[in-house]
Amino acid sequence: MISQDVIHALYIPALRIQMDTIPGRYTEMWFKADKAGSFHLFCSEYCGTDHSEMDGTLTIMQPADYQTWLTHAASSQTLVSAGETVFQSYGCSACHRANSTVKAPSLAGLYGKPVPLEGGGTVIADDSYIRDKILNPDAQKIAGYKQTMPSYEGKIPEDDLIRLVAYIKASKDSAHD
Amino acid sequence: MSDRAAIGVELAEQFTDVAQQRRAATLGMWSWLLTELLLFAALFLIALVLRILHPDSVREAAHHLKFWIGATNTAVLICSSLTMSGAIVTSRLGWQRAMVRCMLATAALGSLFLVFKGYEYYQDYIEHMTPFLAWRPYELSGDRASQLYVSLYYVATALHAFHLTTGVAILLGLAWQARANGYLQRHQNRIEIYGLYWHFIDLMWIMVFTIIYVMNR
Amino acid sequence: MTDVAMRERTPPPATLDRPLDYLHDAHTLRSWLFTIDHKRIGILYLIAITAFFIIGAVAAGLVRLALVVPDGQIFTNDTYNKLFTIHGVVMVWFFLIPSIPATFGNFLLPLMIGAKDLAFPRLNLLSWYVFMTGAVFTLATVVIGGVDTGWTFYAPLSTTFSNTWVVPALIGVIVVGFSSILTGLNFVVTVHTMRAPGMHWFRMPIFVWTMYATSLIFLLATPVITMALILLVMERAFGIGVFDPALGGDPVLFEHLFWFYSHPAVYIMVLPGMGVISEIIPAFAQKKIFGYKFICYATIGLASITFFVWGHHMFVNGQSEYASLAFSFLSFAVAVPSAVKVYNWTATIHKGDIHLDTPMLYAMGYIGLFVLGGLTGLFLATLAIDEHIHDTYFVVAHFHYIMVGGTMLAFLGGLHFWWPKFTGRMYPEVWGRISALLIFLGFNVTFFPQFILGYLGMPRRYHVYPHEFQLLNILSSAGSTILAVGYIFPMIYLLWSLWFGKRAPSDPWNAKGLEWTTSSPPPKHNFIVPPIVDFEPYDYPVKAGESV
Repeated sequence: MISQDVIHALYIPALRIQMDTIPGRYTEMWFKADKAGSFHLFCSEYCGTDHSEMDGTLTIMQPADYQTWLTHAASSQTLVSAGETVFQSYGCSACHRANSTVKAPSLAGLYGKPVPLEGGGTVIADDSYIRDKILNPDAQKIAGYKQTMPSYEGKIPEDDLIRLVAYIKASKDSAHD
Repeated sequence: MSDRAAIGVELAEQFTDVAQQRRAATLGMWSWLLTELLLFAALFLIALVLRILHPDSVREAAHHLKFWIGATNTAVLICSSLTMSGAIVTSRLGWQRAMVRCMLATAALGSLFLVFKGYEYYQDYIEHMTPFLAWRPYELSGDRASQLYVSLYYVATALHAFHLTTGVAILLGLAWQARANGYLQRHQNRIEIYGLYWHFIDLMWIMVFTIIYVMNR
Repeated sequence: MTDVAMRERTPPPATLDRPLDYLHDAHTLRSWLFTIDHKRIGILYLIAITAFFIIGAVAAGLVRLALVVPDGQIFTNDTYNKLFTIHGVVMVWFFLIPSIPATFGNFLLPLMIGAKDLAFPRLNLLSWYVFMTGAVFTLATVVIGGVDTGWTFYAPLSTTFSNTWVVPALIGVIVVGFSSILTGLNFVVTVHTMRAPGMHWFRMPIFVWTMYATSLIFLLATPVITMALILLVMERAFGIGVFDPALGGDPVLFEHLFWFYSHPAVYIMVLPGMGVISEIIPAFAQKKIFGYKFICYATIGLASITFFVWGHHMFVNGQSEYASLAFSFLSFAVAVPSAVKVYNWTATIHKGDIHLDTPMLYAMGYIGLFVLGGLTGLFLATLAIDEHIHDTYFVVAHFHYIMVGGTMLAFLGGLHFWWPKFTGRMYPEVWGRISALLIFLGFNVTFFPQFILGYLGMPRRYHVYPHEFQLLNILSSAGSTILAVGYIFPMIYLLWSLWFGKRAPSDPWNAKGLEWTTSSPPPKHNFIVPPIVDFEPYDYPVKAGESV
């Protein structure tokens, strides 16, 4: 999770968990949904004027219900599909697509894998890694590739960046094959 | 020695004897310096954090600092500490005129530091190393993290310069008072206490110089 | 001179050669505003912080009023946010932090160690002016302009997103910080150098020990927040970006710097209260304090551990789990010295000759509420539980049990205990007891429901909340009206007693300690004959068969 403006926190009292969302870095939270139902969720880190109206509902459904909901109600774009548009519009696809003339690493199936670094060692490609690589590609150079990618720091607005990371996370190996 | 004045301390009414008064004044100054040290420590901590977060940008920014001006200034301040020690030694001996001269020399060296520092800021300005001036383009504008370090450099050196300016002003005030006959008989203590403060400003500069200028080269 | 002769010296009768007491030494306003007498400066602080307390309490009352309805119709969101910011800023920075140290500490510290004054009386007056300048400046800002960041000023809300008067409010808080530093410095030096002959470290009253520990925290922690707040101001004014992620800075760094001060600040508020209680309990149990040295060590222990627990405010911000584990463990360690003190107080009361006068009622209330506040602190120090109740009303209830149930009750208890010494008049005992009971009752009705609210999941700083929380919120608001009455009573009867109260003898409680050997109110330089200490602290008479 990440924030595009101030520090917030996602708080789900029924699950007895919360985690801050901080601008500029990713935080994680997980839970095992073992009971269907609707539960309150709040922002628990004071975030400004309408802090107390920043709430919502967590809906946990049975898999079958969820499929029905997906086909009937999910009209709006998901984060991932919006991210795909961003991926095209910033020209990421020019280099990172599978058969590009520029020798850039493929991003399909990257998420969660270890990446070998120039000068030895590896790093796990998590959310923060992908984000940092977009903003500051000169750091943590990848073994076997010439570093030519420009920095996108200050060029991609925060919301687009979040969509982009979500898209890269979701790119599966199958897209590549 | 005709100009050798008697030395002593005038007893303030809340103390029972002069020894107690001296102890209290010394401890008071040390406590104040401890507080000041922690004030600067927060800045040093931030310098460290920036170095860990953005090592390349910090190195890049540090290369634009005027190392030799900083080094010269370090030498100037170390000399000023020497003259301040001279003032303390002469005050203990009761050589009042020599003491006043040492104090004036210290103030002059302190002012020289400020002149150099001003020149350094001017050079920074010429070289577009002023990211906080919105109307002036910034030299390393492609590297946003370097801006943090340059800003930190300004905060740390300006805070130090503020201390030094206050220090010079107090020193001149003390020197003015110390011309009067019998000053050492009443207030020899003040020279000693003030000396602690001056040495501390010197020490802080050495730390700022090391941490901001030297370590990231 | 024998022990008994020293202690039972009666003050000489008022004759022409006896110096006037500090209140009647001079009468002009000038003689108050330019005084360098620590006792008068203590009274100046007392007046100032009472005024600030009233402002903070009114804001609290309005916050509770707003929370009676769940849909936030009484105030707008913006007004509500400004109100709780006023409450937090005023209560923390301008009431709780200076409350006991600057008033009782100033007045009593030299008296208790047998000194004529603090080591630097002019510096002491300066710190009052610095305090007033900063406090009035910030107060004007938060009341007239309004600031909506909460007292914690978290970046980047405070640096980039808030459209309110953050910069002037911060400048005032920075200035007040310097006042704390100067007071702390003065106390440290005084304790080290100004003790009367024979008053060695382990003959000092516990109150002096706690003042000393508090002053160390002032000296070591305050400059760090000063720097953090200066950087916050710079960031807002020049956009230097140390805490702004959009520029590559780190908002979590501000949390670290902020809590490195603000957690020790909790002990700036709590330790002096413990000192006051340690004076009241032996006096009203007429018994030597149990485990004197252990309480001294526990005081210093608390002041040390408190520098290493700041991370427990950040369990849910993604900080490393190993760091969280260490901070959790260290936070549990705080319980040890705290418990040492509580056990020692209860052991002191045990089999004592107990007098349930007003100060003792406050002290008993303190012990109960402090234990509750402290134990719920352990809940919060537990990582798994904190995941759930972090930033909820549970936290709000917890720190109010410490701040109000602890510090505020100790402040009121101490005020009644030393009121005869400050003013030379007795307060009306019956009214004192009634308001002590009202405050205890009102406090619990106000804040106990908040523990439940927090556990059920109501986040703090919420103006609009789900309907199922309304009942408990109404209960809490109802309790706050009882609490308000409890606060208003002392303000009236203490003022009344200034003119109509009975004249106080030098030791109305039959208490021990140097401050009770001089007249009430004390003369300008505290003691007519400079005291020589040849007795142990708290040398209350030992009954036959009792071992201490």
